[in-house]
Amino acid sequence: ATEIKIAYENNPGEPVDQVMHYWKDLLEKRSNGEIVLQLYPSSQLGAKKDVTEQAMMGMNVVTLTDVGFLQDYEPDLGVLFGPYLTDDPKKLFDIYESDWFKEKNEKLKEAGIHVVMNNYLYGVRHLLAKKPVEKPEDMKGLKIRTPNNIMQIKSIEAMGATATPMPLGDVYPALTTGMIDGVENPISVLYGGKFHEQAKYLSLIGYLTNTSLWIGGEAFFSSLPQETLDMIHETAHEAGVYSQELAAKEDAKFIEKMKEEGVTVVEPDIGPFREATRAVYDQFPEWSPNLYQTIQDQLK
Amino acid sequence: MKAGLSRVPSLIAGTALFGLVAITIASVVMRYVFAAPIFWLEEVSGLLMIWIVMIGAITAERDGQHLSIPLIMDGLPSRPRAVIGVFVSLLSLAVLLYTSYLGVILALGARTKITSILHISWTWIDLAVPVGALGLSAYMVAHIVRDIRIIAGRGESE
Amino acid sequence: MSWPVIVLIMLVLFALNMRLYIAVFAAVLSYFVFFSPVPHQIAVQRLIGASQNMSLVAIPFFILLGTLMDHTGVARRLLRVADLFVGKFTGGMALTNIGLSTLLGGVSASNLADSAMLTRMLVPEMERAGYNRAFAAAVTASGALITPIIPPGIALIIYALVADVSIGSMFMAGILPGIMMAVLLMLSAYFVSKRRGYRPSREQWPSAGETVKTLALAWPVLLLLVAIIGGIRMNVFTPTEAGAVAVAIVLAIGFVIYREMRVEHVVHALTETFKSTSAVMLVIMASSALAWILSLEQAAQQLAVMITSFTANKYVFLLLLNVILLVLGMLIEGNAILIVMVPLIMPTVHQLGIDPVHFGIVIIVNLALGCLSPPVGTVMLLVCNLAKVKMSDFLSEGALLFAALFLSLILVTYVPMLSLAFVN
Ligand code: NA
Ligand code: NA
Repeated sequence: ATEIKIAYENNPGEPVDQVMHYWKDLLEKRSNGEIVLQLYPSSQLGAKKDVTEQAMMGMNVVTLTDVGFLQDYEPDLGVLFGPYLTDDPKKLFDIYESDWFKEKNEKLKEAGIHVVMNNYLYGVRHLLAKKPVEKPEDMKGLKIRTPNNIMQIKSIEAMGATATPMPLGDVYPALTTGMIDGVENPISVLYGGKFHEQAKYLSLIGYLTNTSLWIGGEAFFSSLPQETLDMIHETAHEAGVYSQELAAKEDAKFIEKMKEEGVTVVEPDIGPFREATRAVYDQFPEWSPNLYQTIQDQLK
Repeated sequence: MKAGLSRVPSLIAGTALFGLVAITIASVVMRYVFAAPIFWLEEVSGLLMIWIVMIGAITAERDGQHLSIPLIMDGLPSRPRAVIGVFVSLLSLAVLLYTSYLGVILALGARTKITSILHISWTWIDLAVPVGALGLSAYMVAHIVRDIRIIAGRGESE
Repeated sequence: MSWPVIVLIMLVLFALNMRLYIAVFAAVLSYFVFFSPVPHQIAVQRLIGASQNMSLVAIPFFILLGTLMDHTGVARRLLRVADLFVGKFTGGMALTNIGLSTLLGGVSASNLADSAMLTRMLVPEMERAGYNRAFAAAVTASGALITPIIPPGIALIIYALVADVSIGSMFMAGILPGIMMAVLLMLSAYFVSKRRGYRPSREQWPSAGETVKTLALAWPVLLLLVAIIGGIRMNVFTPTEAGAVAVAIVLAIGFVIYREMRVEHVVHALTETFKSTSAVMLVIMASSALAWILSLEQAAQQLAVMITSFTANKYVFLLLLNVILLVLGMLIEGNAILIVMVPLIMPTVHQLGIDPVHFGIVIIVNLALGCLSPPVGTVMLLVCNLAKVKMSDFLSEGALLFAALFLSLILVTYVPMLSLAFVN
C-alpha cells in the first residue's frame, strides 16, 4: 500500500482535521485500502516551513500551506493573499484553475513542490476584539495579533491598528489582560481558541478569503504511478469542495454559538476598509509589473 | 595559542547572548514607547539562540559541563572505565561528525527556505550545527587520547 | 514498532556515561539509518526545530537573571526580607524557596525558567547558610514543578483546548492542587531541616524598627519583584520579555544603586549562562528530535489504545495512566503529550464518568513530575547542572520531597474534590 503522511498545525476536531478525515476515508474507500493517509495534527511533524522542507527532501508528507507562505518560493503568489481581493470566493478558486496559476505551478514544481489540493478554503478572516469595530477609525490604537506574515501585518496596519505577530498559542493569555486587544482569523478558529471568553466583539470585516494549498514534494509524488496520482488528485479536489461547504456551515454555526455566549456581532460597511487597504498592493516591489491589475482582470 | 583559541567560542556565544537580551529589551521599548513592535524579533532570536547553543556547547565541553549519568561507570576501576571511555568517545565522535555532514547537506539545501520578514536564508541557522559539532569533535579526540594514555598506564585517571 | 528499540539503545548509552545529548541523538540517528527510508538530514532539522521556539528563550534570560542577582547582592537583600517573616522557623530558607516558587508559579509559564533563576539565586545563599547543596537544589527543583499547575499555566490552556473544557474552569481547578503541593513540600522540607538541624536563623521575631530598616534597604529588590510578577500578571510583557527587562533592572540596581557590580561580573554571568543554556538546550533539542520519531511512529497512539483497553474500572484506568504518563513524561515534552494523547483518551474518560476538568489536572500534575524523573527529566537536569550537583546526590537528598510530590499526585488523582471545589 502507498502511505502518505498528512501534517497540519490545527488541532484534532477543528475543520481542517474534519476535512482530512473526510479525504482519508474517501481515498481509502476508492483505492480499496491501497492508498493510506496517516494524519498528524497539532504540528507533530514540525512547523510549516520544516514540513515543507521535509517534503522537498523526498519524504512522503503532505502539508497545509497558504500562498502567503509560498511566496517565499514564488513571490507573485503573495497577491492571492491580499486584502479584499474579491467579494466572491468562487472567483478566487477560478484563478487556481487559470493559465496564470498553471504557469506559477510549473515554477513550484521546478522548486520541488507538488501541489496536491488547490481548492481548499481555510475560511474568511474576521476580527474579534475587545471593542466594536465598525469603521477603520475604530482600529486606531488597537493591538491586533496577526500571524508572522508580511501581507497580513501590512493589511492590519493599513486599517490603522498595530499588528502584533505572535504564535496562536500565546493569544489567549495575551488577551486576558491587554497585551493585545484583538485577533483576526476565521470564525471557527476564533471559537476553537476560546478567544471570545476574553474579547466580546466579533466584527465581520472579512478582509481575507483564506484559500490554502496542500502541498507535497515533487520527488515523492513523481515516483508514484499515474493512476495512483490521479486518484489522489481527484479525491483531494472532492475534499476541497467539502472544505468550502464546511467553512460556510461552520461560520453560521459558530456565530450562533458566540452570540449565545455573550458575543456582540458587528457587521460593518466593508467599503472604507477596502479603501484603507488598497495601498498594500503597492508595497511589494518584488512582484511582476501590473500584477494586481492582471489578477483583477482574471477575477472579472 | 591553544588557550587563546579556546576563548573564541566563548567570545562569540557571550556576544550573541548579550545581543539577544538587548534586542528583547529594545522590542519591549519599541512596543510601548513607539507603538511599533519589532516584527523581526522572533526571527533574529531564533538565529541567535541556535548559535549560542551550538557555539556555547564547545565552551561547555571544554569546562566539562555537559550532562551525563556517571552512576554506573563510577563504580568501575580506572582502566576498564578508560576502555569503555574510548569506545563511548569514538561513538560520540562518529555521531558528531555524521551530524556535521548532515548539517552541511541540510544548510546547502535550505537556500530557498527563507524567514518571512527579513528573508534570511535558513542556511545561516542550519550552519550553526556543523560548526558547533566540529568544535565538539576536536574535544572528543582529546578525550580519546587521554583515555588511551590511561589504558597504556601513562596517564592519570581523574 | 521500531521505537522501543531506539529507546533501549538510548538507555544503554546513558548507562555508559555518554553525554546525554549525544546518546539521545545517536538513538535518533540509528532510527534514520536502520529503520526508516526518510532522508537523514531531517534528524538535524528536528534538532534545530526546538531551538526556534520563542518561549525557550526565557531559559537563558532567567539563568542570567538569577546569576546576576547572586553576584550583585540583590538575592542577599531579598532573602533578608524573607528572613523577617520565616527566619524564626526551622528550615526557613527552604520554606522561602518553595514560597517564591509558588509565587512565581502564578506568573511564569515555564518551570524551566523558574527553576533556573531560583537555583542560581537561592542555592548559593542556602549553601552559605549551612544547607546541603544537593538538598537545596532538590528543594528548588521540586518547588518549580508547581508552576504549570497554578494559573495561568500554558499546560492548563492547552488541555482546555484539546479536551474542550473552559479555560477559566481549568484555571480555578489548578489553585487547590497547587497550594496543596506547596504545603506538602514545605512540610517535608521542614522535617528534613529539623532532622539535619538547620536551625532558625533568628531567635525571635524582628522588631518594628528592624523590619522598617530592612525593607527600606531592600526597596529596589522589591521593586524588581513587583516588576517581574506584576509585569507578567498584567501582561505588560511575555515571560521571556520579563526575563530580559528584569536583567536590565538588576544591572541598573547593581551598577547605580548598590554599586557592588563590575563589568567582569557581567562577562562572567554571560559565560556561565550560555554554558548552562547549551548544556540543557542540547538535551531538550535532541529529545525533541526523538519525540518527532515517536510521533511519526504513533507511539503515543499505541499507548493510548493500550490504556483505553483497560476500561473496566475508573481507578485502575487512572493508575495505569499515571504509570504510563510518568514514563512517557521522562522521554517527551509534556505539552506534546497533551496534544497527542488527550483526544484519544477523552472518550474513555467520559465513558468512565471521570470529570474532564479533574482529569486534566491529574494529567498535568503527572507530566510535571515527569520533568523531575531521570533520565531526561529536564528540570532535574537543569538544576543539577546549574547547582553543580551530582544526579545521585540530588535524588538521595531530595527523596522525602519527591515522596511529597508523589503523594500529591495520588491525592489529586483519587480526590476529585481538590480539583473541582472551586469549579462552579
Ligand atoms: Na503557571
Ligand atoms: Na521530561
